[in-house]
Amino acid sequence: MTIRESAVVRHLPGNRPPAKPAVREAVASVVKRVAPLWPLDQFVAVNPFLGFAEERFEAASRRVSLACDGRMLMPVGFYRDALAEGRITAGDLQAAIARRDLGEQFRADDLQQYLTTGVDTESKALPHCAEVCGQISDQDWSGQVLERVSHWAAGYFDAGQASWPSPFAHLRPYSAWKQEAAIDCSDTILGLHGAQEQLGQLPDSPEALCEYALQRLAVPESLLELYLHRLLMSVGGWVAYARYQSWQQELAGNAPEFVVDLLAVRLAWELLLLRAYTDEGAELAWRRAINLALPQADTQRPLEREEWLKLLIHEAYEQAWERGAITALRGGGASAAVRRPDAQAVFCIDVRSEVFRRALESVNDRIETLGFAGFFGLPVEYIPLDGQRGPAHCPVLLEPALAVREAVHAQPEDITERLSRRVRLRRQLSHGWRAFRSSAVSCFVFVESYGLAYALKLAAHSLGLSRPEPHPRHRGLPPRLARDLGPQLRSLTGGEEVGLDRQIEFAESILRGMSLTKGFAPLVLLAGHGSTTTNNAHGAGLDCGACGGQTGEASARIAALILNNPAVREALAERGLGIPEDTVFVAALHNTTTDEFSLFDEDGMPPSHYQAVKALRRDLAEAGNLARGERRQLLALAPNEDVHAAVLRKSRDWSDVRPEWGLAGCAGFIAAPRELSQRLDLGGRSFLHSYDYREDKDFSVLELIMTAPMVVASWISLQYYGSTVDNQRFGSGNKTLHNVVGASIGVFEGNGGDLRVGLPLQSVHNGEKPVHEPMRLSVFLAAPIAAINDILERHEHVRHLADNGWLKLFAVYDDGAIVVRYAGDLHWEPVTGQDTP
Amino acid sequence: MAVSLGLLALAPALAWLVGGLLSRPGHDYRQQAARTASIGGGLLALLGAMTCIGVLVLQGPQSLQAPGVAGQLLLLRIDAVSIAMVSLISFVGTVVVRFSHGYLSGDPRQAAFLSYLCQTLASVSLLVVAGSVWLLLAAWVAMSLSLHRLLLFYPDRPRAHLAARKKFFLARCGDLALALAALLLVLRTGTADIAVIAELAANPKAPPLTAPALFLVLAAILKSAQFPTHGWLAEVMEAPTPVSALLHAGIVNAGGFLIIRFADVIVTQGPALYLLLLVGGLTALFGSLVMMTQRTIKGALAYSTVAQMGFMLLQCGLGAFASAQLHIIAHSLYKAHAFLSSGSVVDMARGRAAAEPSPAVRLPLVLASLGIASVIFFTWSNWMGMTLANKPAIVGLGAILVLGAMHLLIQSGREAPSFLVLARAATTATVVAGLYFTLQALAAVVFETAVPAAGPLNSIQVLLMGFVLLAFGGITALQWYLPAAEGNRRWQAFWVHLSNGFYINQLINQFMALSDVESRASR
Repeated sequence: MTIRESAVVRHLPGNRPPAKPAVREAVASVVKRVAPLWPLDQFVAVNPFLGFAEERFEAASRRVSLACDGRMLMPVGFYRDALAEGRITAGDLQAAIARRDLGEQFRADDLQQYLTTGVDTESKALPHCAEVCGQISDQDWSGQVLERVSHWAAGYFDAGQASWPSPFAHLRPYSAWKQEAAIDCSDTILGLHGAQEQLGQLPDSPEALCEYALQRLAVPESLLELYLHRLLMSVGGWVAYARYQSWQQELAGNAPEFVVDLLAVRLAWELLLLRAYTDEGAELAWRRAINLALPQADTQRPLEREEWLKLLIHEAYEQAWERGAITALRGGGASAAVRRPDAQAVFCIDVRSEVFRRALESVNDRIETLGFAGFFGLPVEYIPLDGQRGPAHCPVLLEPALAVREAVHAQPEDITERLSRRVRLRRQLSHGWRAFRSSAVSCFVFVESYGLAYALKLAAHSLGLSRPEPHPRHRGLPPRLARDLGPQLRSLTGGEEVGLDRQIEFAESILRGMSLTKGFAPLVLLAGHGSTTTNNAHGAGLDCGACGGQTGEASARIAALILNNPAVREALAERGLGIPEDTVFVAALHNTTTDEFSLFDEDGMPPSHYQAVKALRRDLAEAGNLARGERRQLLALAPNEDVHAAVLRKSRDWSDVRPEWGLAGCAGFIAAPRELSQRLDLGGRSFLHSYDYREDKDFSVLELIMTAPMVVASWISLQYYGSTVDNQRFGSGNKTLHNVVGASIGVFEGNGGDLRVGLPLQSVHNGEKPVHEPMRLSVFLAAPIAAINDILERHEHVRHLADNGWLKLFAVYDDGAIVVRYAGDLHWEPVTGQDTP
Repeated sequence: MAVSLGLLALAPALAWLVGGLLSRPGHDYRQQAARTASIGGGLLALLGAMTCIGVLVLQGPQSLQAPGVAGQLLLLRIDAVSIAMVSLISFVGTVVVRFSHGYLSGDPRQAAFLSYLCQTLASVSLLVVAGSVWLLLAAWVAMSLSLHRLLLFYPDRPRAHLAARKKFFLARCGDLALALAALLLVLRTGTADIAVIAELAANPKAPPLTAPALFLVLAAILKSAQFPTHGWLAEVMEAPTPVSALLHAGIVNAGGFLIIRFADVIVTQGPALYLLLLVGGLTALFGSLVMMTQRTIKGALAYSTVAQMGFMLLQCGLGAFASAQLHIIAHSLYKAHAFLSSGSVVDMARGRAAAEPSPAVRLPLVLASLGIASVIFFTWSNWMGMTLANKPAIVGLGAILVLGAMHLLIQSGREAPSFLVLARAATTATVVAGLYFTLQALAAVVFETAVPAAGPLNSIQVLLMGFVLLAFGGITALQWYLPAAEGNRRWQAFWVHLSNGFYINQLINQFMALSDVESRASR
């Protein structure tokens, strides 16, 4: 890459420009700081601090304020209220100090004092050139740049909103931007003269542009990475989306890093502005701004007193919940049942299952419940009837390993073939109709002929009788047909799509993964979960934020198919996993919005089990009543409103912005036998994974739990955390202003600005106060310390989470009687009496 | 009798007003009182509108005047146009209020929101039943002022201020235009009664009304976001979705309503008609082109409204006032639904299989669809007895029906043309055409007494319509051949300028020296 002569690097006097290797290193490093953003139709709960996990929580807090212009703790007033309400006690403050071993510097009184008098200081983010030029010109260039980049990126990345998509979309982002910017006249109109010709002189590759620009801007090496991070975060939503695109391509094997392109675009803007305001003294002002920022470059420097105070108060807040949980665990502990249970029900680890499991057990104590990842360990790509590719039904950390086709359940293939033709025809016609409705010119005819019919739609939606778009699960098919569709393990051409060997392999890993290796009940319910909401752009997030916004239906049905396969059972028996002949696996879907259940594929059930299934249905219905009753308060219903009717109404109400609370409140993760938590009311706030270390000889299951479900749970908990502490930066803002971008990419809040990430304000806040309590996840593992340490040692990214304070790790023994806390660096300490007053 | 009828015509406006006043207090977090008051106002308004329909059917159109001097101001009109509009507003208003109950639940200022909503609805309901130019003017201004508060419902959003300021400025210009029109009308005809003015205007010995007609058109252009003053409409998504729904379904069409209300005056004034035709046609073209490049759902809907309002004024320019009135009603219902359901666009994406790029359209498919569409069109138009000779505006504009039907056929058959697909799409097109002609005929009957019938077109109108139709045809064809144009430099340049709305909004921002506010806003 050569830079044209007219643009010979002419760096600013004073600051030494960074060396090229340093630039390359900083660029490579800053790219990893970005957490990807999945589109709304495949919603994934992402840890917004994903790129900071290698730093300690408190150092990251500084980075968040400098680079992200955000915060990682709540405002002081929030904790003040918590103290006043007794949510935090003086003991908690004391314990937080003791935990950090800071007894000599701080007393609980200091924290109390700060809580009464402390005020939130506006922390200052690092400057960038657009901001400096904005000050010079009294025009807010940071905003303008964001607006222009956002406008361009929305067009470039558009996933189906514009009928006329960008003619530059086949290029890499930076090249597309450069070509487009050369045509676009906005810069001139905005008063940025000479921008067009300067654009032509910029290097053609994003990497070269970064090198060129950083030399030109003469950013000192010590500030380099932080400054680049700041630039990325100034268009953070789009950068996150670019990261997602690259993530997808990494899975597919080729990985151009689009984040660099966006960095180059943003740096190009810095250059354009610096040049445009050179005569007004921009270069001097920029150098001064950089020099002022230099002392902040070291985010690892020791905490100052006020930083400590804030952190300790937050830790006291977390400590208060922990204290309750540990006390409860110590008091809990049921003995394992000796009789064979009537049924076993396996739920997703999702915190919403906890409420239901407790309810189901209380309805019938001869039902055992288990917790397991809701995709049942099957990394499936589920291919719809009319498609060639389908969505992945598994956590994004995994790549789909098997493709399963949708077909008409228990019918010959020609029926499936016929239906698939029908679906395809339907799709063509609906494509035609949508084009007719929304194209230039034909839209006038549409309104004149069909517009009046919308009076009926308005009335019907208002009364909750219909919904604007069919439920995604039905894809516009009549419900009867949609219900008959399900996964099939045979391919359409007759061959085995999922071979017996793989079925056996998966069957074994499913059963061992949830520590269900003996004592099978006659009925084993495999319950995935999904939600039903109407007109909700973030609806996929309520289905399963871990599994790409898919419901657990397909996964549960595939798991049941495999585990009911006689050939599989035979092979399992040989491997020491004898499943009684009378045991039947039944797939089900737990509707988390209404707490109702649907059972699938019952036609394959032997007649001997009809009674048992009927009884189970009854128990599920009754448990649903209890679970809904428990959610009543959170749903803020009128005193005399029937809760069942209310949740049904909410699921159909096109205007409801809080149809359910999702995983709000999530705080704990417990991997243990159910007996440990069975007697406890965990308030729908804990992920529960069934795990029995005695069945896990080589601790491979523990390793799986700590590297997959535990990490996923921490992603979810940190997404809720970020969206609560700083909804402006890590959340997606006010739902009533949401404006869906690119058909499904994400939302703007209002007319423009950055693409928003995270959860809407309404998902974590009830209008009066936050409903989610921002805390880092407390993980309780009923496993030997040595085994945990061993796994931490082997998995660096998991160790970062624990060592750097992104989650809190506890080991539990003796049915909860003994709890030890992970103190970092593979050391453990007993939980003392002081912690649990 | 007259007094009670007058009260009846006022009932929807009063119901909303009372609803609005009652929803003001309410410190209670759940704000139940405000909800009850607002929905109660809505249901009463609906009831009032229904009764008005009954009165209209039984007793025919009438003016109701308060006795004495107050009569100059307090003069109400019950006719097909006013009652159709007041029913529309009551219905859409009730839906929007109901929606806001859930949508803003938990918002500490929900009661205030509902109150502003009801007050705006009250002024719109008053506007459409106004029988005197003064009352009309007063309601016109009140509507825009109460809307202003809704647009600024989140006062800490600087971009909301930018849009609202721009809207405020244009609205005051519109107010001025309407005030001048009203003044000139009263001076030249000697009466403020719109019905009397209409009668006078139809008289061959009418006083010169060209100037007031042009001011009316100007007011309509400013109110209905016509090119080049459309910018604010695309920017007011800084208020909650129900505000957009109300704005696009109930307020932006006030311009069209104004023209229809004064149709008898406008129709006699050639220059006013040409101006409507020109601006409306241009806006319809511009709006629908820019709409094709919008990347956000609300942005696309906003430009769609701009285009639809242009089309509606184009109909007015052709003298097809009944068609324009039908268009206002149909568009309002459609657009209210489109905004309120805008969150569902993701469901659409979730339910669909991954899109494959659509292949270029082949000529045989175009010819086949042209054939099918023409047959459908002429069969229906003959059957309904509408020909180019007796209904030039309706049948002439019906050319877009042919284009629309072709588009429907081609887009359905594009991926894999087969007899089955085309047959099914042709069936849909037949139904669409049937609805089109039936509704046009129906509108002509319903609004017969309220607006002048669509008459013959003069050569200027024919010429302008010809241009517009030609452009429509060109745009439609462009959509079919577009995939082939991806790499074309000229297309790329056109696309960039188009997606910026040809920079008109930016130029206006700069002109109004608001650009700095805008950028501060987006932070």
